[in-house]
Amino acid sequence: MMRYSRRNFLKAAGAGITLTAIEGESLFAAVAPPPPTPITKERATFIINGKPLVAEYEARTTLWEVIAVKLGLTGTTRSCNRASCGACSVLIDGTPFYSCHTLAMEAAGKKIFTIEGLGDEKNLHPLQKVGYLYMAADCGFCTAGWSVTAKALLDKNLNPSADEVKSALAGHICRCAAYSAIVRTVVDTAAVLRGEAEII
Amino acid sequence: MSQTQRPRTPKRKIEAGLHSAIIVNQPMVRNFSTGGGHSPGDTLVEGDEKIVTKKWQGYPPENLNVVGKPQPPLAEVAIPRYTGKAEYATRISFPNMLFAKLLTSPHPRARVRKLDATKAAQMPGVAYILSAQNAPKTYPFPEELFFQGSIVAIVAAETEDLAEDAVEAIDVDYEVLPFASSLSQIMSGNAPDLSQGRGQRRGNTAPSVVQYGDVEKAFQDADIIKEFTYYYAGGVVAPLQPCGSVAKWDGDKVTVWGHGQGIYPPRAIIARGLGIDPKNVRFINKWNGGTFGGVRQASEKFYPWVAYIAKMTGRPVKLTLTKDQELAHMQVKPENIQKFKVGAKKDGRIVVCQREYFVNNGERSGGGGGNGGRSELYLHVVPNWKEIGHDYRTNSMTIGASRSNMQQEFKFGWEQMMDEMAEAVGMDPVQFRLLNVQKPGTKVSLASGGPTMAPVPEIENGFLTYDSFASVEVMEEGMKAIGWDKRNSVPGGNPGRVKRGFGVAMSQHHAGRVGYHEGEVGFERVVKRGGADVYESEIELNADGNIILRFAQPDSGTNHGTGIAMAIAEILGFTNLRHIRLLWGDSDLAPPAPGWNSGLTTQLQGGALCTAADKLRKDLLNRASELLKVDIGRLQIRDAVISSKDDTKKAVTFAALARSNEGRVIRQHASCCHPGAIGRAMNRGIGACFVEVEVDTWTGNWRFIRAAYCHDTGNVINPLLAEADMNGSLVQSSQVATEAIPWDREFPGTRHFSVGYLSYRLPTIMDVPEQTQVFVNSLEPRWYFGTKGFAETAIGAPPGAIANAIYNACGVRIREHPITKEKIMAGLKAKAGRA
Amino acid sequence: MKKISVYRPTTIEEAQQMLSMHGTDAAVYAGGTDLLIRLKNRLKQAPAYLVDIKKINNLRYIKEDAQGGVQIGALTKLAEIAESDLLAKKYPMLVQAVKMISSPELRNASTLGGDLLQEVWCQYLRGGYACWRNGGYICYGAIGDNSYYHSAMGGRLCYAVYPGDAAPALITLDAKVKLATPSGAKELTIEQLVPGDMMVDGRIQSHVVRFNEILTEVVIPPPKAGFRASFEKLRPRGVWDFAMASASLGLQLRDRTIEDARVVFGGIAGRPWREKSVEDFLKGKTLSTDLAAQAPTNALSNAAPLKYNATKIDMAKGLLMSGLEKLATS
Repeated sequence: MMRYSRRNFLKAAGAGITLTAIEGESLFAAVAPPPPTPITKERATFIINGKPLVAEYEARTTLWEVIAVKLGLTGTTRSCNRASCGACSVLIDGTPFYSCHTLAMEAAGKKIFTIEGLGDEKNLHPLQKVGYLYMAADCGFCTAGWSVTAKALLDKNLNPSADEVKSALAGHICRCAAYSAIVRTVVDTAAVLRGEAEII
Repeated sequence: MSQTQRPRTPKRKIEAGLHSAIIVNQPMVRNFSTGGGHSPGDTLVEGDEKIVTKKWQGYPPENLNVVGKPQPPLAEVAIPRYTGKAEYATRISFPNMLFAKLLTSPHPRARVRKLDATKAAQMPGVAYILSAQNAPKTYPFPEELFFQGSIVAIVAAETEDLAEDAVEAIDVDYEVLPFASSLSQIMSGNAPDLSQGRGQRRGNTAPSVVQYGDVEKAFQDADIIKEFTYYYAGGVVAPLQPCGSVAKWDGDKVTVWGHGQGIYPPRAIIARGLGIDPKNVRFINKWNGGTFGGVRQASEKFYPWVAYIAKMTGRPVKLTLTKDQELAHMQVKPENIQKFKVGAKKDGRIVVCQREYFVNNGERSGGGGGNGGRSELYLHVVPNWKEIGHDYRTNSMTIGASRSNMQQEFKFGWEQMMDEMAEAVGMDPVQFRLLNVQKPGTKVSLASGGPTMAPVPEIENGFLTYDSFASVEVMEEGMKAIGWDKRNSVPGGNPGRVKRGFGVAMSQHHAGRVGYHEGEVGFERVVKRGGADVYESEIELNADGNIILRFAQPDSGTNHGTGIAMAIAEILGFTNLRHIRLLWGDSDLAPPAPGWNSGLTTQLQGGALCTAADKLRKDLLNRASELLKVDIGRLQIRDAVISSKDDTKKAVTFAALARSNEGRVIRQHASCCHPGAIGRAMNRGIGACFVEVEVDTWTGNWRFIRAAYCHDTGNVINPLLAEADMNGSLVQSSQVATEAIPWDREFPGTRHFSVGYLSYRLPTIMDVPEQTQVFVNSLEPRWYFGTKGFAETAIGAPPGAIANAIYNACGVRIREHPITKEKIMAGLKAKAGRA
Repeated sequence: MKKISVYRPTTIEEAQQMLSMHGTDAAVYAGGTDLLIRLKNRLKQAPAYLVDIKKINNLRYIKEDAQGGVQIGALTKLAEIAESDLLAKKYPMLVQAVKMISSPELRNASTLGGDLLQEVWCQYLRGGYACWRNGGYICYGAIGDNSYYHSAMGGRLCYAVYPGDAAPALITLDAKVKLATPSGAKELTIEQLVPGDMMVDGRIQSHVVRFNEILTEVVIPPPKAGFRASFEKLRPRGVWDFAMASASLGLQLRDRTIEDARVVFGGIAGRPWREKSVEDFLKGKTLSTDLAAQAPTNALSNAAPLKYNATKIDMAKGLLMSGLEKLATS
């Protein structure tokens, strides 16, 4: 005769076996709630640069993979895949995160901003124009990452000092070490956005 | 009260410009060591064979409209970097694409006894598993897994995660073999024989000896003799872009998008690996997220397998290595030991220099003194010289170029030695170097110049003479730029807890990298000798009046396409780049060329294009002369219009000339070659690095405050690009001084790289110094506009400069790489203990 | 990364039920910044079941309590702590310490609870070697390359250092934590929370939280007048890296006399290392630069360095001196 314990019950119930009382014995405790089912995969809408896009993914799929692989927005690069370089940064509801280190399910339904949302060759954002003039990108592999983080900074603070820019962009590695140009780009882009400077 | 009208403050202008760079122009006409002034129209006559070279190749560095001006790179190359559209191989994506992941060996040396992939092959989403069992015979897997990370299998699946699930499920029975991965292991008595049966003991090639003069006698005559030993643990400059590739078949033809420094060489590798005609391989590589020399092993090696899996599955395949796997394959700077014995006179002249060096070559067998043999700088100024080189093959990554080859890892020792000798002699380290360094006029013999010399036609009496070579200027300007007069010559002599220090080091690259273009004696010789690296190029003038430059090279952030375009623009009389277009990085679009490295792209690939542009210029002038009935000597070119100097109404446009030609296009083709080794004549580059650091003597913390990075640039074409490039060079060269490849010191042959750049730390925005670039235009008389390659001239200097500066700041000398805060702390404690 | 199944409970009780169901196969998942590394590196010890507690209400807040102290919900992001005006005013040293943790993007994701309970960063564990924390019975760090991530103050089974910065800072502030357990809420000091190198539920951890317990809150007592604190962290680079050594100091001053002291070192031992010998030395003394120079003399006298990490002790002493000097001259 099977001994009823709460644990056994839950296990058995999970296996689809229904248990009933036998000869007046009462079931241990009250009827337990059905066991929860964890998420192993799902399908959701991501609002990327204002556009709703649907993707199917596993629980373990990272946001980077949804954005850059499944949805084909390849602008967001990925380098270390260990949250140690910032190449993959995107904004989620205006806040920078490493997309390689964020489960896709965390960002489902949220507003995501990537480099594609900043500007394209027909309509460059001042950050891109100033960056181009200042050589803020040598190889450019890190550029998408710090660009969105810089955008988040400028959205909050339109007059950042060089130190504030460095603090905000500290989580980005530029292997080509264009840091000095990157900082000047963000500081001077802010000036452009404030109307105090113009791009020649 | 009414508001008064406030005058509008004028808006600040945002435009391209240098941030912190000093350009020093040497005069065009001066006494060079090879004789005579160098006026335009003159020729240079050199060597036993009296080789004649037109000065500046006919394009003197004067009255320049484009060359020398700072300007942003060509928009077609640069803008995509800002918009997320630059096509790195990692951004290439296709529907139905498979993702490949590697299974690599965990052992420092092993063989596969048995590999069972049946369980893995049945796992969800797995499309193909490649291993030694089914790899193509034309490109087999390595039989012996020679270092940790060697390739065992490649799995292709629907997603990266599914591929990695399958990788985990492959059952491998390894036969672990005796190994030696480090110098101490391979040099010990019981090391295994890794020499590949070449008859040498334990993988050690016979020591190479290079010497001149009489070393024994010179030591007897020296006033001061000192011995030093330096150790370098190994370093690497890993680019940000993960190594990898994409392959896609279209019928019989495969296109591979890669990550490296060439187009035709990888195409050839893929063709050979698959056993197909190279015509059926299209290789595309336009943009790279950095390469720095090292990815040949980590990306290129895998192309044939990726293409093979794509063929077998009928689907596009993308391989991306993880960072730790990448490190296992990337070329690295070798671990090495250098033992110096140096003798000098009281007046500071070094009279004898002896160096014995031991190099860990990794998987590649060593070659007679080649690795580690890059002495330069003081060679042949010091009258007696001996170098004994020991190269070892070990169970470790192949060594090679990693943001320069054989520079930082050896100059770490060399330039500390120079400072220590200067101290022994009682001389300022800058003055000591100026006394002993090569200068214009120094003669170097072919026999003892080692791999820095090649038998080129300009050799005279067995010697080549240094010519345009700004060794003195890079030091003098650097002293000014860093404020060397503020240096306290007593190590640790400044008062207080936090002490500042200054350091200097020099570097020289075998480059300079001027080659020979078709028509020159050197070109004929080198090509006839066979095995020459010949860079072909094509230039096209089309009916729109646009100039198209075709060259088969990728751009790794180097922006050499722009530098080349600027030289072409100058030759063709343009005042801007608006009419120049590039067709680059694609074997279907550009003629054959070898890959690039060590600062030669603008010189050799660019040299080919300059020669083609020169041909085009002459061609267009001829046509215009005929059409306008004006003597060629009376014609001028400016911005795509050729007109008579005497009557500007007599004019014809480039576009019109093209339109009137057959096919409505005018083309010219030209070739340029590598001189066969490392540089034509002695147009070397030389550089220096001056640094200022700060040490916290309470904690061992140190800060890199400023650097002046000084380069003999020949004639810098685009100072804006040069400044950006050199900023990165300094930071990377510093990083290989402060970080070592994460080998385990207690478990040799094992690396720890599991947490990305936390395991191998790259400098962040918080860590980099302020920099000033100093460009000394020494004007190389043998090449267009006086240019020479300078990408790697000062590059070997930062490690020694930093070590010297830290010693100057706090009296702690770090002879054992890497330079760490722990070592500074330990050194300070030891000094305090002695005090 | 490894396959995972994710639960999303909306109450603590639900979360505990899920944790109980899977035992040590499950773990609490908040920011995931530590957890995802272990999953990506496919460590044996990494959980297959994640219990995402972010949908549970009332675990994310920074609020002043009636006594003037502050309660911080365990799910509060490090970035929120770093940007909190309230915390900057009451406990500036804590804010300073948190700002030195990892990087801005990571601080946007990491939670205070996750930071306190994070796994060690020993290169052998993270590299998947079968050590005490990963299904094995050996510590590679004790005998291996132990300059950075291993203890210079001895160990028992696991020699990895406690890597966090929030814990040393909070110990200095006498903070406490609340745990939700099946038998009700439990309160612990931070020292009790992270004693280091503990066998819990059959595995080695740095903290005492059991498989079915959840950290819910950190409570900091009200700041006292005359309390001044400093935090110094020495690391290879200016961002991201863990401490080679760190020093949290808290001095309760009456004028220049030190009435009470807290001295906590980070990055040098398997737990935040509270050095009572220095605290006793400082009590009753006058704060001065001379005192700063004397303080390290007898500090960490029972250090037990491994082959490569003796300089951790010297660095820790240097940081102690530096922190006291800063407080003496500000």
